[in-house]
Amino acid sequence: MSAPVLALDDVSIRYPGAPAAAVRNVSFEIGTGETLGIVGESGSGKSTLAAAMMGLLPSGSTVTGGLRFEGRDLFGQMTERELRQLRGRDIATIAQDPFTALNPVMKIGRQLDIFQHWYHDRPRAERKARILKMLEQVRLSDPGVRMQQYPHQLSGGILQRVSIAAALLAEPKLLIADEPTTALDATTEAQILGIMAEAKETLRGATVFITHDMSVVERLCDRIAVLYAGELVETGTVAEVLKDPRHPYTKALLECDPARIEEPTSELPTIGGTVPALDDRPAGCIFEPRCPSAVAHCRAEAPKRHDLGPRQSAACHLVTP
Amino acid sequence: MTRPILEAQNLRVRYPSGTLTDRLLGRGPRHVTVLPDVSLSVEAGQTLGLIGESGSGKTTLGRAAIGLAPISGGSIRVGDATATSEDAPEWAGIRRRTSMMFQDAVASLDPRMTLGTSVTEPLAIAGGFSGNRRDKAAELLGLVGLSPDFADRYPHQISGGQARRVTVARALALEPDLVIADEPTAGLDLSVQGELLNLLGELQSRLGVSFLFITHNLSVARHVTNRIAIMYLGRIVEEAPTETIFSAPEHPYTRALIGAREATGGGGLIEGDVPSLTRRPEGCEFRTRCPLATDLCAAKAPALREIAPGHTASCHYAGQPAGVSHPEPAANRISP
Repeated sequence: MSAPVLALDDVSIRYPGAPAAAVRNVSFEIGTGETLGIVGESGSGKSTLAAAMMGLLPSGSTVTGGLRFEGRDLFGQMTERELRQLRGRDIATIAQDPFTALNPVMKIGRQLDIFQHWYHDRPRAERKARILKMLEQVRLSDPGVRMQQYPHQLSGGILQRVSIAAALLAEPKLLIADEPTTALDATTEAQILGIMAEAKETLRGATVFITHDMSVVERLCDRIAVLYAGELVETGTVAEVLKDPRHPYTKALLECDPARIEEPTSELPTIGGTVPALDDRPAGCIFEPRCPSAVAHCRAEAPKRHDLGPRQSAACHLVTP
Repeated sequence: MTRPILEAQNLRVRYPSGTLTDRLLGRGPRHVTVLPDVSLSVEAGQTLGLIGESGSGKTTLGRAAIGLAPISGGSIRVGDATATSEDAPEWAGIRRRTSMMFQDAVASLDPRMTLGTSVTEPLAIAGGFSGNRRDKAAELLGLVGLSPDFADRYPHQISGGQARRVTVARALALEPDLVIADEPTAGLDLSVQGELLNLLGELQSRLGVSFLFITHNLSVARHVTNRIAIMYLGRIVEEAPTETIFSAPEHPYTRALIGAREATGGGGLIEGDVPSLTRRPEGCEFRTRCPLATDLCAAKAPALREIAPGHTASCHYAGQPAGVSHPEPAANRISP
């Protein structure tokens, strides 16, 4: 693998005034051309991580460990000005809600032109041609007409395609998609996932997909990172982790997904208990209170990351390579 | 067979549309018809899943079933009471036997009311309850697996999953025959979603309550419903026992929905968006997105007809043996 686009090394993030860190000791890397799916339920810290990757944490947040984009630490080595130059050019995002992601009082075409402001040395005609080409790539009908329309005239599915086009126009080295299909209907979601899969082919950089939906990871990602209560519990290739999950939380989460249960059942699997509150975390393993296979040792000591392969690991005492 | 607990017959619901000036000047349509003509029934002790995308009218149908939508035609029967308009006097009786779990559980709880007061409020409204309200609150909360001390808490002090349970407790306060559950698992994490669905199933087998289960999630519906009705543009386009919907779907839209769950992306999916309710396509309303559409579909709207016992679909080509002018749609491909 070439040098990673983004490397997290023992990253912990604490919000100002919070009793404890929202993200604790998370390490992973994303290489060029790779798509990483970050999976977690509410309170897992996945949105905090996404904000950190863009350098958009609220001021006063404490970040420890290293979060390096192309070898440069986002927190520490870079000024706010440098961060701003990174966002929208090297790092682009696709937001969850396409209705609020675009400016309501500006035509689509004008917005997409502004998204290319890093490329202002290109002639206007060339920028416009790029927009049209990109809108065709996201399979939008009548791109010329769409460019003259305002966001409120378009449906959620079309707006999300415009958002994807906007992100791709920047030719980013890192694309962060935060639950890009959660707000969409089933048939529209399937369309958007198809477009994302196509876009991956043309994208030269790395992609991070934040989601709570395992089927999205299965369809689009190469690697997966499973977060629970702010900690990385398991990471590996999608094929390996979905086929043979090693951490009890990953196992339980996959079992809970009604879409993965082959035979109809009236008794659905669940994970008992709730995610521990920030100020009430267990002393040992974070998942111990809800873990079906926990032993006494789990309560006493937090597990370290066990390497299970070159790029697979799980944080559990019971995991053996 | 006993009579269904809920029966909607040729139900029509429309909302006023356009601005006041438009209406005074007689410009544009005065109404937007959300449900043009819907008939459906829920058998006692069973769960009917109402599936559709946003704007398909599934929530409107659920609300109309307890008189919360302007009914301009047809009727709703619950038990022996039949209502034919939004302000019919029969609703008071019907609402005593039905209850609603609204889509947004947290917002459906009064922020200034303790949960104990909230869950027993239906009893106070219906009247005739003479017991101790505190004890009753503890009993109802116990039914959904919450400890009695929840009775003194307020909505902002509980999680989304707990709020869902509270709305289940409130829905059961009057021991209804029918509960309309509008997207009861929306916004819940996977690990908690199963708990709520199991709870609903357990309460059903214990209390014999029927559910009209409104959802967009076919994977969930597959496990918790007996029958499924698929809605598109305010019409039911297919209805069948749950297994049949998955094993032998007849309407191209149903196939597309099932395909959307399974496809790996790329080809084989239906294109385009749901048309506007104010500009319904002529002929079959699904033809603008249908991979099988022919001239017949543009010329004539298909009727909802029975293609097998207990299985209805509104497609000209439903029920025909494969290969007879009924090409296998790409949307039905199953991923490896």
